[in-house]
Amino acid sequence: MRRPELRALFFRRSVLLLWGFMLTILVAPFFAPHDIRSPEQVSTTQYQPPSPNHVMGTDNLDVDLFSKVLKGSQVSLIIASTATAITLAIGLAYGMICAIAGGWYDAVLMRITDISFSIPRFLILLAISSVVTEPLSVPQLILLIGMTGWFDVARITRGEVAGLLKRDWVLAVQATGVGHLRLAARHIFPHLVPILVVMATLGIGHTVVLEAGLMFLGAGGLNGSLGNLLQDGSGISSMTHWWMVFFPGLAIVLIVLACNALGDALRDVFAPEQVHAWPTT
Amino acid sequence: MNSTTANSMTSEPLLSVNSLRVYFNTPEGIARAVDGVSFTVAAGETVGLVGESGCGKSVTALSLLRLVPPPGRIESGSSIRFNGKDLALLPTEELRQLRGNRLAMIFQEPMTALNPVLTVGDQVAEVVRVHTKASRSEAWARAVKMLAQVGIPDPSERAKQYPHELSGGMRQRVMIAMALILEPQLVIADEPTTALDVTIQAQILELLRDMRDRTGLALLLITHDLGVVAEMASRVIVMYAGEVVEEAPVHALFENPSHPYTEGLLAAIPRLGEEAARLKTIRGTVPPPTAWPSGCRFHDRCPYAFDRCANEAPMLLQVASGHRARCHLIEEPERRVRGVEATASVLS
Amino acid sequence: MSESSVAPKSKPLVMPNSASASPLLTVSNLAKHFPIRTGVFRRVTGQVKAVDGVSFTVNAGETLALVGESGCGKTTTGRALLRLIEPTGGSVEFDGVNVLSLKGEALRRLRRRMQIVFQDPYGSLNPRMTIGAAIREGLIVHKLAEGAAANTRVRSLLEEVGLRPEYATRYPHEFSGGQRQRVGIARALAVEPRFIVCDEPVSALDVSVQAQVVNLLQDLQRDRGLAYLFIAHDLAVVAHMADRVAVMYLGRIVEMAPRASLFAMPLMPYTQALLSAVPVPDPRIKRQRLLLAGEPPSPANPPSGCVFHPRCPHPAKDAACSVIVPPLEEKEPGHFVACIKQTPTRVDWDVQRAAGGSIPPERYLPRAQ
Repeated sequence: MRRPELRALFFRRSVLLLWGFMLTILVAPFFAPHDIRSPEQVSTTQYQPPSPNHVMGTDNLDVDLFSKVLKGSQVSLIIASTATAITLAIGLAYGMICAIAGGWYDAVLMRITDISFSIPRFLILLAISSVVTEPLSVPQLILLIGMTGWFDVARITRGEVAGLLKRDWVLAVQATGVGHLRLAARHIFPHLVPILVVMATLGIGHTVVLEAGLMFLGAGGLNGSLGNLLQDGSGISSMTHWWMVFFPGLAIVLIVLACNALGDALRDVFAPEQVHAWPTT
Repeated sequence: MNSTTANSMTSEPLLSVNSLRVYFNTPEGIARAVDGVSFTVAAGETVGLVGESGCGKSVTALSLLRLVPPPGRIESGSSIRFNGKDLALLPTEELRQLRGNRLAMIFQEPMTALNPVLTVGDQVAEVVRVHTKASRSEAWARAVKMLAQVGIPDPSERAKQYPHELSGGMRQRVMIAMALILEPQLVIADEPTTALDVTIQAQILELLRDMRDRTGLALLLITHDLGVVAEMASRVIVMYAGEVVEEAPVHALFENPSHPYTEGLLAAIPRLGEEAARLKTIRGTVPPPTAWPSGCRFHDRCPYAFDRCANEAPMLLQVASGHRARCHLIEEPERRVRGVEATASVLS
Repeated sequence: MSESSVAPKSKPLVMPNSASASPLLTVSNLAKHFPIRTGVFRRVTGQVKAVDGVSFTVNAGETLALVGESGCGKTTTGRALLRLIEPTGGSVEFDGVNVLSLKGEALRRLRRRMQIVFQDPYGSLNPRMTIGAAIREGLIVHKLAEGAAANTRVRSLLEEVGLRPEYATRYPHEFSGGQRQRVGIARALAVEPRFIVCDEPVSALDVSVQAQVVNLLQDLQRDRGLAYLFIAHDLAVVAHMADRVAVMYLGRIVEMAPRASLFAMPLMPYTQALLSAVPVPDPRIKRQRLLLAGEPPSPANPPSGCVFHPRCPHPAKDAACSVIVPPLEEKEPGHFVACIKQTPTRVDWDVQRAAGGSIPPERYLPRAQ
């Protein structure tokens, strides 16, 4: 049914390019030209600008920046994907429960969501991280990001499910004696998959930026993510050693672009059923 | 006013459709929704265009006013002559002047055909203002008068209401008001009562008959309901699979259906007062417009089909004066041997 | 995709339970009111009385048709007695069980016995489930079969409704309206019900397809001994299917009679108008229409007394009609009518006069068809 469109989608130039890049990131650390853990001689190759040997230059510890950027992208993506997965899981469950429960439960729970949604997420995360005495570890970071991002997922899910529940086939399923749990898992969930996929791709891009921002401001500990790299490269060295900031930043931009391109394209494919090409006679 | 034009004096009918073909480009291939349809409507005549889903009748109606949405297109070679002009070739501006003025359309779903953000009075008045030089107040006054004519109680108050405040029957009356206010020569009604309750339908049909008597308009009534056709039309055209398969004066059609599809259709209708044990059916289903069957398009569902039917597409053949059917049986009546169900004529 | 020409499998005849005196389904004073909420605080300011005191019975193996126009409450009635919508009043007894008091597992078990077929063939099937999976749900949920056995059952059900068994792996959008309707019927049959609410099952179908589905429903009834509540607005179809007919108007039953009696001699002025409004596919018959004035009123604001009185053409209509709510009375054997002006009536002339009546009741039978 949608196969031809999916195929067309994956051949869009933008998507191809950017996902080529993404694949590189994911696979590359295994092929990084220089091991980031073992710096070479301490003095002679510090802070080198980009050269054929080190395409993105080196940092203050004389580690190849390219390798670090690759690894950092990997870390950022892992954090972002896991956090987004948590977000989707919570939001999906919450939204479905609201829609199926209906009535007062729905109203109250959604109001809670709306209120939470209005609180600026970034500031909250920043505030939490500054209150905590030790820098956030990666799992902690993931959890925090994940648990603050599910509000709009819940709202969208609830809207979709509420619409679905009005259809006759849902009544038919209920008339067969199917309980709520089976109804949600077996019958309604398949309808949500397209939207979840779109939300996932866009969410990952968004979360990468969020996480980079947090790391940049020192919210988390040293984990080698792109935000960390940005943090390293900022300050004095950003003036004289531009590559320290430029390349991590470029990586972030490309990741977000890739995610957005894919998310948009997926949204086109999974858009509401197109009207028949000809009017029904 | 201008309902009886010079046309009734000339021999050319008011509307003359010739070899109309409307095709759609779809991912599954070309959909030949209307595939060579020809018919005429004389001034003051009521013609019923009948068929089930997938036959092409609605697309035919839309194409008369060039309202077919893309990717549909009217193929070259089609001709739609109205008042001597070919609508298929007319420049858009001239066509616009005709729409609503000489040639009007009533749609099936009043809720979607009316603009929800304008009052009904405004919408009726707009028709007047677009085509005449009437002022706002004049147009409004005419609109209110028209609403009264179509049987809306308290018209001056109702005119200020919005479509969603009116019932289905009322909305349909508003649509009729919009269509008839400039006394067009031809009104195309696309399933005007299908979405209405049967008692309201009765009222609307009565109204249409009234307006028809009053203004002498010609009516092309598109429907799947043979009961409505029997009541309203003087001549009937039956469509199947994008083609005209039978056309006849209404009595002739019901008393002597010559195409097996018409026969089957008439036999399948449940009728009050005839509680037979089983309804007669037409076996099979309507084919998709991307893949019309070869030869006679009805052959795979026809109880009388013989070898010629799968290979050779029949032409419209004369049965009697004014009565034609697209079937080989006209030439070979001895082949009319029943295979399965279906009675010949319910009225014999 | 051509329709399977497989004839429905013939099964041994199941005799309907005509020996037993008690009906299969008894509905008493069923009501469903929807609150109207207005204002910021959504206070309840009124009620939409979609169903307002409906009572009827259905015997095993028979078809009761519920007829009326849009807004009369027939669809709501059908869904309410299955508890797909929760009724706000009245009682429903099925096979000796009080339906409205059931909960949880007991309610689920009831779902096997009472099923529903919907009007809209395009909305009544989950577009993302194969039709085989949709039919199988009932078998799984009620543990009637699983795995290969379930698949076999599904295939045999498809054959029974006239579809090819190999269609089980296809999706709803690959089928026509009539075929989807057959799938809906197969789904209802999967759990082996005794009673099916057919909610306008053929209204959305073309005439030729409609005939096929009507025949199918009749065959299934005969073969399986099913009872139907057949909800429709098309009286001609009803005339073919029904054993008894109940006419609804604005949430109430206004006439109920055996089919022949209703069509031969409709006593309720609304029924008379309804019958005369049906267009007849015969141009020779010049119908003398009984046109009803005005529009059906809104169920949120029903007229007082007899809900039909503002549009009623009965010659004896008077002020009493707007005061007295007419009871459903037996005016002919088995033929119940809610009209105080149609003789005979047990609403005394004195009572009527006291309510403002000025014209005595009389038997009014306009020239019908």
